[in-house]
Amino acid sequence: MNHEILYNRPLGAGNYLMGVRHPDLAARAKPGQFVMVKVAEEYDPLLRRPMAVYRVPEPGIAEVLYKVVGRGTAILAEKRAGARIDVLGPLGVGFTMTPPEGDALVVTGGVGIASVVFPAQGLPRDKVASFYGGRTKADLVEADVLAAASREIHYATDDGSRGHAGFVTEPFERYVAKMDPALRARSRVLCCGPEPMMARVAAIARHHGLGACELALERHMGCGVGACLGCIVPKVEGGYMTICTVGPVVEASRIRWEDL
Amino acid sequence: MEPREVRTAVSIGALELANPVMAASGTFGYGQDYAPYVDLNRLGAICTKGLSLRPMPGNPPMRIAETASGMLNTIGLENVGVEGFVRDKLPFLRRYALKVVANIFGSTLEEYEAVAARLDGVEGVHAVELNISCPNVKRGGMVFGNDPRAAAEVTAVVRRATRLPVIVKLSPNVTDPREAARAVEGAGADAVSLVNTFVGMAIDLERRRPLLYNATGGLSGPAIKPLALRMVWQVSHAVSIPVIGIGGIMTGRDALEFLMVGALAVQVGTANFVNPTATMDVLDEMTAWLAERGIDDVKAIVGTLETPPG
Repeated sequence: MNHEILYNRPLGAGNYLMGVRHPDLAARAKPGQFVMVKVAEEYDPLLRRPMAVYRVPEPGIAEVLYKVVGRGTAILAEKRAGARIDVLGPLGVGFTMTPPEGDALVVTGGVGIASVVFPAQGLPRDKVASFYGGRTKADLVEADVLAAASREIHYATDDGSRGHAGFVTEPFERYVAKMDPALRARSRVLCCGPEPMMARVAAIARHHGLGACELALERHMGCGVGACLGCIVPKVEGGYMTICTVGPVVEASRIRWEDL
Repeated sequence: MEPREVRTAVSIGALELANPVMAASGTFGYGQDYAPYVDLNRLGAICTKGLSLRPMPGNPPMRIAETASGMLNTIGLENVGVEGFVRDKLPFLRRYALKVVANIFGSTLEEYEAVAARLDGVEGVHAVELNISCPNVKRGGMVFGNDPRAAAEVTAVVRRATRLPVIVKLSPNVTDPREAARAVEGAGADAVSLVNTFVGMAIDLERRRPLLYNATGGLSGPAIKPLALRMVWQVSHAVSIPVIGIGGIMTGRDALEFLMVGALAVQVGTANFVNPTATMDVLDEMTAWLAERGIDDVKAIVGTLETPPG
């Protein structure tokens, strides 16, 4: 589980792209799956950090894209090429990758980009319409990569520095409202972003009758393999699901939103 | 000295283990989660997730929080229930050579008794471990663990309800763990295991709120190892039944320290979260350490701590 870091470069706005030589992960990872990264060999911080597999840029290499949000990711950002790191994975259940009959609507915000580029690249480009939001233009990291995998892409920033000024869910909803209802029912949402954004996307998908709405959820995780029961999300039928094994990609209608 | 083969078998009363490394309850699910990482045939035993008479959904989020060299949890005893375990989880475990210790709990004496009775004579269950020390559920057993008389009472009830070896998992949230240990020994326990988690707390300073749903949770991980080691040392001198050491074991050396202070076996817990092969690593490091020193039986290290007089 010890792997060579090939690069770990800043993308701006506190985001980093790390490439690791990990042939097994690169061969087996499916879009939306994640890895558990041990950022320190010492006992502090103790737990691994869950991170989406961002891309497999070439055979044998897997990438993660992360934002420095706390001590663990700050330690990770200090790692240099040539250092080694313990990366466990691939883990969990990713996105449905059979192309939808209709559109694949990719909606993401901030570092949620880390989960949606891999699936977008795996779907036919002419099916993919993307919506990418951030606080400012600088937060829209890797926008060109998502754009290259998309038939069209719509941006939103809080300050209006790129695209729509406001939430990304606004251009997304306008787009969906204009779709032919029959096309909506055959289309699928692929979404990852802050929880309020995902809740809004799920509500829009439900309201407008989109065929499916798959969300890549984020939670603090203890183990990543289903044992610690820490990363739970309430299920619509009652009780909880561990998103490390049932997800991280979960159909929005399976979530009991009022208790999230 | 040539490394020799190290004999690893130990007996916890009638529970015969191929080696002293057990997976701690609540950190290994019902075994299946770790099958991709661990050769379950090489594991001494699994202590299952705590089982109750009926399935329990557990606590709402947030259930875990990382702390310095440790973690807090308040899972709230989520489990499939004893019937669900026997029906859906046990068949998988029966395929392996490891021993299955069913960790059980209840909110009343009757519930403990019913769960223990249900597991009596079930093929593939080799012992029960009474959780009388869960700190996260109001009626999750700690009411029994914090009072030596109540601990003895529940032990006696379970003792009568099953022919299986009975291990009692003790609470560290007491001034002196020896009182409950002596009490449950007197009530017929075949062994004690300790420690469960220490009640702790973590807060979000900016939001002025606890990080965990329940405000408090159970602290585990390397942060608690010195505390656990002290308690295992105390208890192993206070009782004559076997003691199973638990608390922050991350390496083979950690495990050997618990054996040295008097434990006959150990449970690896939070380390499984950090490293899914932790149980195997602990076992391999432990036997390598012994082999390098020409010690050919793991039992030879048990209780060999030399303490200065006075």
